[in-house]
Amino acid sequence: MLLGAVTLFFTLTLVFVIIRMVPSDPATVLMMGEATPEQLDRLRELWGLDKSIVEQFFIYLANLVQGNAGDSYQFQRVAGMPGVPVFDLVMNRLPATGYLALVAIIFSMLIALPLGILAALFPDSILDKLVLILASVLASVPAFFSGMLLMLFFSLTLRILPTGGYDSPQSVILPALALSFSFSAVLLRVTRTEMARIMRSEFIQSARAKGLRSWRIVLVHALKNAMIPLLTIIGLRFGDLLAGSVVVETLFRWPGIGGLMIDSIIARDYPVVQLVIPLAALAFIIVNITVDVLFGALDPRLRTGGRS
Amino acid sequence: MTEQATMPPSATASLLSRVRRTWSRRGMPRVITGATVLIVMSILCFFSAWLTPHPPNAVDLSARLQPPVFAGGTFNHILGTDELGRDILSRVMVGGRTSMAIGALAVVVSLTIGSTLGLLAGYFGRRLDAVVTMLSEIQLALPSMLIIFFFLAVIGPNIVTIAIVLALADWVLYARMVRARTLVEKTREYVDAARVLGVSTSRLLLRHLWPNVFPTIMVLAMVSLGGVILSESALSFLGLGVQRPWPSWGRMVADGQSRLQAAWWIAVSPAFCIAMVVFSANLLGDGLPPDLEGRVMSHIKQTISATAQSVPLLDIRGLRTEFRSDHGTVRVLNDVSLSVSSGEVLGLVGESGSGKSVTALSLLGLVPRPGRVTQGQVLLNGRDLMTMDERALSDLRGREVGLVLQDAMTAMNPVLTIGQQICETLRRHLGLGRAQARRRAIDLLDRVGIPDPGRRVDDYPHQFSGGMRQRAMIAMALSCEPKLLIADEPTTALDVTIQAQVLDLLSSLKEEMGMSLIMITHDLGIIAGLADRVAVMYAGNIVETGPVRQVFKAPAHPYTQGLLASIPSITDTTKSDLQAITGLPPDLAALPQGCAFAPRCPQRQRRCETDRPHLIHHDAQSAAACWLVDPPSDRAANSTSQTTEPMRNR
Amino acid sequence: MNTAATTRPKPRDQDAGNGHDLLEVNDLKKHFPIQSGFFSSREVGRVRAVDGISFSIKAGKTLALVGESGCGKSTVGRLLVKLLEPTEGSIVLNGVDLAQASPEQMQAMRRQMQMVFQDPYSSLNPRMKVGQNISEALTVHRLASGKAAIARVEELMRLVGLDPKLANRLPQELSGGQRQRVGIARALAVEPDFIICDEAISALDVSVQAQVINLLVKLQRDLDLAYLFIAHDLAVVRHIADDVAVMYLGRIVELANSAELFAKPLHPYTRGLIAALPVPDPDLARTRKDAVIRGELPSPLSPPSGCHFHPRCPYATPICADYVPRAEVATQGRQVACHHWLDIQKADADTERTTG
Repeated sequence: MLLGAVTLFFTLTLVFVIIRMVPSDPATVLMMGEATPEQLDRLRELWGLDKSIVEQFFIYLANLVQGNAGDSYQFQRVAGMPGVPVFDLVMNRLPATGYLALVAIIFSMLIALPLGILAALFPDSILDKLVLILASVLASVPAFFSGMLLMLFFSLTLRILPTGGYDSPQSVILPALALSFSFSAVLLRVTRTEMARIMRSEFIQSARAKGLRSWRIVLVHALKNAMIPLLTIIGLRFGDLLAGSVVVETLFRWPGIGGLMIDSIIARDYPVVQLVIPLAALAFIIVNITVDVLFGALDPRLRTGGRS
Repeated sequence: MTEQATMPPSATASLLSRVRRTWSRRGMPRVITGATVLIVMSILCFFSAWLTPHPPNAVDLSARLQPPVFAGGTFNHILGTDELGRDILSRVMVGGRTSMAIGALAVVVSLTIGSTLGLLAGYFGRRLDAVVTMLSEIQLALPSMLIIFFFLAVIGPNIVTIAIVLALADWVLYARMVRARTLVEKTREYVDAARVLGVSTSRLLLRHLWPNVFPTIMVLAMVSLGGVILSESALSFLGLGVQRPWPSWGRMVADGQSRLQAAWWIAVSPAFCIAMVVFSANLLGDGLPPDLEGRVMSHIKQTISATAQSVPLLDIRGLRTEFRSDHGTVRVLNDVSLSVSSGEVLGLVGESGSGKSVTALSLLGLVPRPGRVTQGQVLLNGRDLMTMDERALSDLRGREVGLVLQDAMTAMNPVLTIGQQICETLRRHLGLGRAQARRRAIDLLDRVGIPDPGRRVDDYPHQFSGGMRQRAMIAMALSCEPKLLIADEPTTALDVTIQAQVLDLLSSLKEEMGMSLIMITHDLGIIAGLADRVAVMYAGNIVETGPVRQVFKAPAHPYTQGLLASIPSITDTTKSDLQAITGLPPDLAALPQGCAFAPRCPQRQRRCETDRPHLIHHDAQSAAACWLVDPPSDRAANSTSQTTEPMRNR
Repeated sequence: MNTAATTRPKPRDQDAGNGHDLLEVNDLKKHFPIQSGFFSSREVGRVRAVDGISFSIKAGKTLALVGESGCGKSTVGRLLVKLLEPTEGSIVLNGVDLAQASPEQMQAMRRQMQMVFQDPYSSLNPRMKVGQNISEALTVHRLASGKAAIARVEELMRLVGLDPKLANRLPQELSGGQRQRVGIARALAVEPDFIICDEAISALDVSVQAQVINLLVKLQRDLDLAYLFIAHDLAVVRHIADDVAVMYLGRIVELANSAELFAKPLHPYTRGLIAALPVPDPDLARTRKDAVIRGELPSPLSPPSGCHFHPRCPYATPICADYVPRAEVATQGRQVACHHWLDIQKADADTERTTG
């Protein structure tokens, strides 16, 4: 928790400072060279960019604490007037990304768990080798390319799924699949390695010596132990999923915060960037705290207060 | 740039030559394939200035959108052309230069920074360790790729900034792995030995720790090389990568996106290159042994730590178990015949690798892969277990035969409570309900001497002390009151005073339940105190078997004689030399043609080196596999009556 | 002090029986603090791994330190070679107090004292050849280099019964017994007077154990080495040691000449240990089933009050829970730390008289 707070503050500060280190400023970028110096100055004053960086930082923090992340520079209802509140903008887009990430994780588990377990049960078999090759291929193909292939096949050739957008329930399938591939490669590998390791352990040997049914040995004795490393890896790799979503959202025109982030960075839309990235960090931190809590539930050795 | 980019493969090659001897050949094809592809692609890309068939930016509108040669194009443009008629092969080669240079540079930078910090933090600990750990925790708590996107968009991408930013994201992985590895290596005794010799700290770090830590990060380096190249291509795809005019692979895929249907080859060629490089790097990483000694040793140990059996309750005939590996077949059990009567305690003795644990696992059908029972019969109450299918066998395991292993900490599932692990056996075999099973489990725990069993039944194994855990393990094995209990070194991990308690428990439970017991151990003292009969194993064979008193007082086989003479006795007051058996325990993969013990045998004769002796009864109760042992007629008359009777009605 | 550290006395010239004390350990303590807290390191308790022990070893003699896991015997070994810094007490080797020695003095003292470790699979650097593992000591102390070093390594390998051809092998190509011989050769390279054997044979197979024990005994005879033999196997100790110190939770409970200790153990714990030992003789084994010690080993984190052994002791009385027994001299060279040893001895004598 403490580490999470430190990290979050660190991110806020880092983003705030770095984005201001670049020579090009938002006013110039936004007006695309078509404004007089006076107009530019007025914009900077409107956005508070004329103040010192320390002052700006405290104003930013103070506003953030009150739930006000400022107004967007690039998205304006009326030209020259204060822009759309960033908070609304981001909250509008956040559910789409969350939804995409969730579906992608579910897809990854559906791909990785059964295959990984099967491979582990028959180590060094043909099946095992095929699964390992599949994992390597999934890990090697960039998400944007697998996305393009999916699009080519399912949308352009078979015409059964939309090429992008957020209109129908089916539209999540292709982006989530594209996003899930590299993630499932990681899960597949971990599932297979961990299950194989656990199946070789002595407690599995003694479970077999007790005459337990094999489904119980695999699903209760082994899988429960394998869930621990699996969860760890899901937590650690969740950041990759967020990063991947930037690419996938761009490719599939998915209205999430990934696309918004790239646009805003390029447009030097400070308030948006200053909210989106810390928010992503927050999401990452929350996922990992959840994982830690689940650990306690899964692994009794991590619970405190042992009696022995 | 060129040297750095080709470094990973060549470092790998030198590593390979060093470890080849200790390492299974299994990883070799992967390493060769991965390294070859990486080297060839590096050469093609880095020397692209001289190798490209066409200038990469030469526009030729007369040759627009030509397909690759294998899709009906010409050899002039092997991979086809794009919408401006530019040669795709040439562009891919030039584009690869950027991607691969960034990959190599980023790996070198992050590896250097990360492993140096990790080594120092792991070795010195304290404040430096706290700082490095804190930094890495913060960085790991960030979605680093997102931050990288942001960084690069702001700073302005070029080869060096991209490489450095990507390196900054990866140093943590090296630092953590090297730190963890160093912490482990630091506790190994060779480090203590070096310190006791007075080796200086810098020499300790460079000569002792680093060479042992380094191989593990080679795997990581390969995997992260792939990761860096993927990240770079994603950046390029988003327009945040290296700017034109140099095409990079990611950028080329993005450019080809709009013509995916009409001219798929524009996007596919560079995408295929990305996938190839990443795939080969991962392949190379996979093929490298992650932990050289660890892997080899654990394999050997596993092979060795598997054994046991016995009776007319149990009758084992000619059991043979083999382990097949790339290196050939190892016969772990050669020809094991044993029997255990009802209520009898059979002691199975032998040194490591003699096959005693494998005997136990073989008879239960639990030999770990790649081991296999290749011949023999195991008759339990007259039924042959070897002909049973897995389902019938599993009905029998835990029900009629119980197994207690050496280390209850690893033999019990750490995430299930003691109670759950006892109950599942009861429910499986006796069909008890949840509440019934629980009551029975508490009874059992009480019976093996666990205080406050009603409360402790819900404890997890790690909450028990070593001795208590072993008692719980015994309770579990006995839960269905099996007719036969196999105890494989059940007290070896325990302290002497606790060992005595557990042995007492085992022998009183045996009396109470009237079961048979196979006691597998290397400790002759335990056998002397507990067993009715003994079987001595050597190199996968039973070399001698007989009533305990006879075997101890008048061992027939030279190995048994040597074993008994070589252990110091607490009652022995002389300080003369022990009668050690000379030579080394046998290598199962290279057994001599004749008697396996012949090379160490002081009474060896010519025949021993050519013919393998079989287990032959020299009286009604005893048998030995040795050419020197007299045939039955000579000895049977005077020895059987005295030696076996007292054993039966003890 | 400095001369004592560099010019080495030749204990061989002295009468072995009345040899001087090569090593004298006095009131040695090692406490490990248990810290808690994230930012501060507040000490919330301490594990008294070694809690004030004293003993001495004469040149050419063997003292065995025995006890069960957690009793602190291995910590003592590590303190002597300064792998751990003592909390208190003195370790005087050949007149130099190692606890106070400067790093330079300590470096010189390392030539007089070496260690053989337990695990033959981890005590050799797996990336150095066998020869390099042995010759490193020569390099570090500048004893030999080049051809002389190679010759010396060969000599050492022969001394411990290894074929010098094995020098070019990697440790993992050797068997456990061979590796342990390499470990011994490495320790001998600096020509020490004193070697600590920390469970040096317990990882070996029975038949190989005997070979290594014989080697250790032979080397002691030939080179006049003193050993501190840390072990849990009493039968081996009985065979190899001149004196035996029995430890329980950080303290020495009994120290005696080996023959006397095994013939007539005075401390209840020693008696229990000896009784618990499996004896490889079917007749004896079945008659000695009486004195199994009850209970579990207490946690070193919170040892019982007074005499640490009292909760498991058949002779315990209330005084045992309240007062720590002092080490009393029973006979010449024999110490026992028990409130009731005299009563126990008397009771023994009575039984002997009545039965005998």
